[in-house]
Amino acid sequence: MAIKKECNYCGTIVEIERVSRDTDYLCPECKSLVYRRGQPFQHVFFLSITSLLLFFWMLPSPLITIKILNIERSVSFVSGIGYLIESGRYLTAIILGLSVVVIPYAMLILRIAVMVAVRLKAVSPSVFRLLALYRKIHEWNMAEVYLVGILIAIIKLRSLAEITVGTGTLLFLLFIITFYISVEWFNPNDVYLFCGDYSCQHAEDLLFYREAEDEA
Amino acid sequence: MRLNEDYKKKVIFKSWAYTLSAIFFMFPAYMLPMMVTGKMGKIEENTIFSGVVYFFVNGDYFVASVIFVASILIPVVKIVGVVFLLLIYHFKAYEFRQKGVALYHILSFIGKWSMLDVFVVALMSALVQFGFISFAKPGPAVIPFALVVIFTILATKKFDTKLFWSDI
Repeated sequence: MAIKKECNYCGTIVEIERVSRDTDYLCPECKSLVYRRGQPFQHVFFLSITSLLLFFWMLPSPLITIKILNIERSVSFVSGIGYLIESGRYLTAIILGLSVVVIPYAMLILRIAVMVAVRLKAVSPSVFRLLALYRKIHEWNMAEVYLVGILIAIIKLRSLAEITVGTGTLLFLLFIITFYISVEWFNPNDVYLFCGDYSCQHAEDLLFYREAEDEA
Repeated sequence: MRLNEDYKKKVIFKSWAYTLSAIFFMFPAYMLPMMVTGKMGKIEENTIFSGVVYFFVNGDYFVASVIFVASILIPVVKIVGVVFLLLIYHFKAYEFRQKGVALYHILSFIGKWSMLDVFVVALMSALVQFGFISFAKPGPAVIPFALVVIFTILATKKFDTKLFWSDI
């Protein structure tokens, strides 16, 4: 299946004669990545569902427990944001809540919704609006930064108190791994290329990762 | 490739506006305390710089270097980088445009990592709440610093590298 794709960084139209799954197509002018075919939607779908389950499991689970003079205190995603709200630090709570909880959750839901629409061959303009939203919020996801933040907090606090890493941190690590693999595997461009005319002629190729046959 | 003149003006205006806003908020972000801690009634206020120095002096080089890179080096590199991209366009120094695109990719990748210190402060302040014995709370620099990060991300996002090819 031949495709034409505009480079997002210099505007050059790049023609790809046949889409191969193992090739990174670079722009001849600015050397940016123009197209890399994603993995089968079936795989991305199950990985996204796994991420979503881990997400709900990790939210109330304790990330770190600290013990000073026999007094223990734990923090989870929910209680951490709750503390910021209770203490009147609304802006910090909004920044943390949006970039670490709401946006990763929204990305998962949008991705699953798009894949269900492709599966049902019910791709419509609203599906493309969901994809546009997915691309917009994608850059504001900062979940992995928070994971490193937990590591830094543990190192900072270990000399002051007794620290126990909670199940929430381990679940969060698993969530980050599954989430980022699914982000890497999902290429929104595939939906435009395979279902751009809404007929979704090549939906099966998208779902099960077969090479699309040329119409000719 | 031809781009609409209004579009070009809008892109340049927004990129400069976000960059200058980030520079403006850098002053309170670096001068005010990032975190306030207390231990047995003794209160300490730490700015980003003093935090880095504290960990360095105490031999915690890993934490010192992570905070230095995420909170000082990356925001400065992002601002200098976006200004460099804008200057390539203003001076029509298009021989650097390929390097400009490579720089744009780097700036887009590193953008969010400066938020690290904000998250560490938020986490520690929720965790260390033992009243008189020990406590930690976010300092007044948290919001200006978060705004520096957000504005530098927006400055990069709003810039369009297609401008380098628009006069051809």
